[in-house]
Amino acid sequence: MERSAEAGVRQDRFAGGIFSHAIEGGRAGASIAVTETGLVATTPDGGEHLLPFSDASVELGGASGRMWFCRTSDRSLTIFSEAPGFATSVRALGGPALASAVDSILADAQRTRRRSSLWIAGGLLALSVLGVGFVAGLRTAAALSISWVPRSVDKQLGDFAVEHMDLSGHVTDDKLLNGSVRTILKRLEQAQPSRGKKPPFEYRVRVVEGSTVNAFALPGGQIVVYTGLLREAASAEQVAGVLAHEMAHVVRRHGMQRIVQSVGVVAAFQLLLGDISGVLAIAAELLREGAINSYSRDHEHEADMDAVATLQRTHLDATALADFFAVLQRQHGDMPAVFQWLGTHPELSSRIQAVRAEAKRMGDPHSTPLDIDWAAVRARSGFHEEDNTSPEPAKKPQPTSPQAQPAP
Amino acid sequence: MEIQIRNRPSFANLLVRLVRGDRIVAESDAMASMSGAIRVTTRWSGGFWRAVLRKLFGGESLFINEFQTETQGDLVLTQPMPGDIECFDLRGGALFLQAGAFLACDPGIQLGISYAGIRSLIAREGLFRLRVSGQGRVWFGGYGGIITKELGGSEYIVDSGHLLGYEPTVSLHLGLAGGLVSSVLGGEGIVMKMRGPGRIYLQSRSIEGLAAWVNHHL
Repeated sequence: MERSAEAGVRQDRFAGGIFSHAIEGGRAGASIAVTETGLVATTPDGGEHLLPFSDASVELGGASGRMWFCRTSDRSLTIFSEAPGFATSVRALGGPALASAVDSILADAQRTRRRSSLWIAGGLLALSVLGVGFVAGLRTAAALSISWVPRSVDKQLGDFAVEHMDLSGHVTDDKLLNGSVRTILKRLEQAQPSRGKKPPFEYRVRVVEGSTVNAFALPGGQIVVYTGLLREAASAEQVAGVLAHEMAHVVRRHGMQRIVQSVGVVAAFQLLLGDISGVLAIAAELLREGAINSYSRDHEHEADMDAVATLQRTHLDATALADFFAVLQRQHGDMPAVFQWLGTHPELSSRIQAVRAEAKRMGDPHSTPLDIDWAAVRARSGFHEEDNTSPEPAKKPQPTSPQAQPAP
Repeated sequence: MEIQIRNRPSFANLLVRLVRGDRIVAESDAMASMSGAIRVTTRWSGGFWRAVLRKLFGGESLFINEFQTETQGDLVLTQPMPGDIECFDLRGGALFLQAGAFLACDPGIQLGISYAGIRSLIAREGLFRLRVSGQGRVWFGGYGGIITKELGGSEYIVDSGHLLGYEPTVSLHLGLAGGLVSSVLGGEGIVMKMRGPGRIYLQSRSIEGLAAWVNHHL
């Protein structure tokens, strides 16, 4: 806006345009002067068009919703502008009637904006509720639909995936390591929760050479343990805690639920109908890429609690899983992203507390340690005594009670 | 400079007769043929960033070509889709064009990008639109025939995919063509309700409609 005051007469100037039958084409861009008597539009060809305030009405509109139109009562001349300050200037110089009209339009516009804001806020809220409901519904649908899928499908998927995935290391044939892990697994299998008349899962374990602190289970019972995890664990019972946790994912079919959530509920019904070829290919690819091996917080909590129950039922130290968390936490702080197994298991401290609380609630005072020379297993897994910065040394575990374990 | 829109409306093209001193700016790749005496200069469309914005949001190309001659010659400009071409004399004003509609303009016309709003997006007219402004003429094309409508104060309804261009003085609102049931069952769905003053340009055919029809028969 330009403002000038020649001989005491105020005049504001804005960019805008004009509609008039008096000009060729009926419209043109214009420079608009707001004077004390009216609007004067000067078109690029130099033509001047006067719209006296005494014969003017105002209106708000245009594509932006911020364009002000002033027109004569016979609508033969319309001058418009959306330049900031144009309406204020018209209001100041146009007299009481136009000032009142501008105020009324502005109030209406404000009411409309407020109403639109409310509609938008309400719409966003409704969308959020629908989104949350959809996710929750999908989870429930996944859990429900999975219960109808035969367990043989789990096995097919898990077997296919483990054969085709890159394990980033060789499957070791070391008898000590394989034997020790199978001994742990055998003990844990004694506590397989009975699920009606369904047969228990058959667990098959592979020990893979690799420094990564990782273990995972695939649907159907395929379990992979890395020597890096055996090296870090201070006792066989701690590995038992990890395996019990992974077995819980298998039993509760968390991986299958993740697959259904990823490939859709429709896929679950395809599985149900026996058409597994397409779903198998997608799911196996997801499993192979590791896209399925991260579980929700609820699933992790369930697996933790199941692990405690399994350890307790098999007369193992029920706090062993918490101990393993604590060892890693002490050695490597609360930033365990480097450890893949923990990388997907957030909020370590709260989980340690939850596991200890559950073990205490179950209150089994007796535990029978596993008959494994854990120091030899650790040494075979690449553990060197001088590497051990943990305050908890490798040890031959002794009978313990959950209550005797110090809180981390 | 003499400009003629030929072969209307189905396969319209611009025949531009240039003499020394004349210049015309055209969308990149719009030239179909020209005399050997015509020189073409390629440049960013309104500077680098404006060109990038135009490319990203306006559906136009990064570059524009400027044609001129030291003697005289003919130039034929055309658009990629079958349809009509229309000319609008800006006279210092402005015009909004839908993405891809721009064909050519007099030198000195500003080509910019303007936010069209969520309403325009919902009506499937795009979140951004091309804004041409200044002193001179602009040529633009559409799919099918081009319908020119001068709007007054009364409402005019346009189905999505048919709006080609409109003056900034025209207001746009979303709405249903009829009642909720008839709008859904009738296939019209959400429409643009437009109100003047100002001129709107409509294309008689919709590219999306053609794509849907072809897709249905594949």
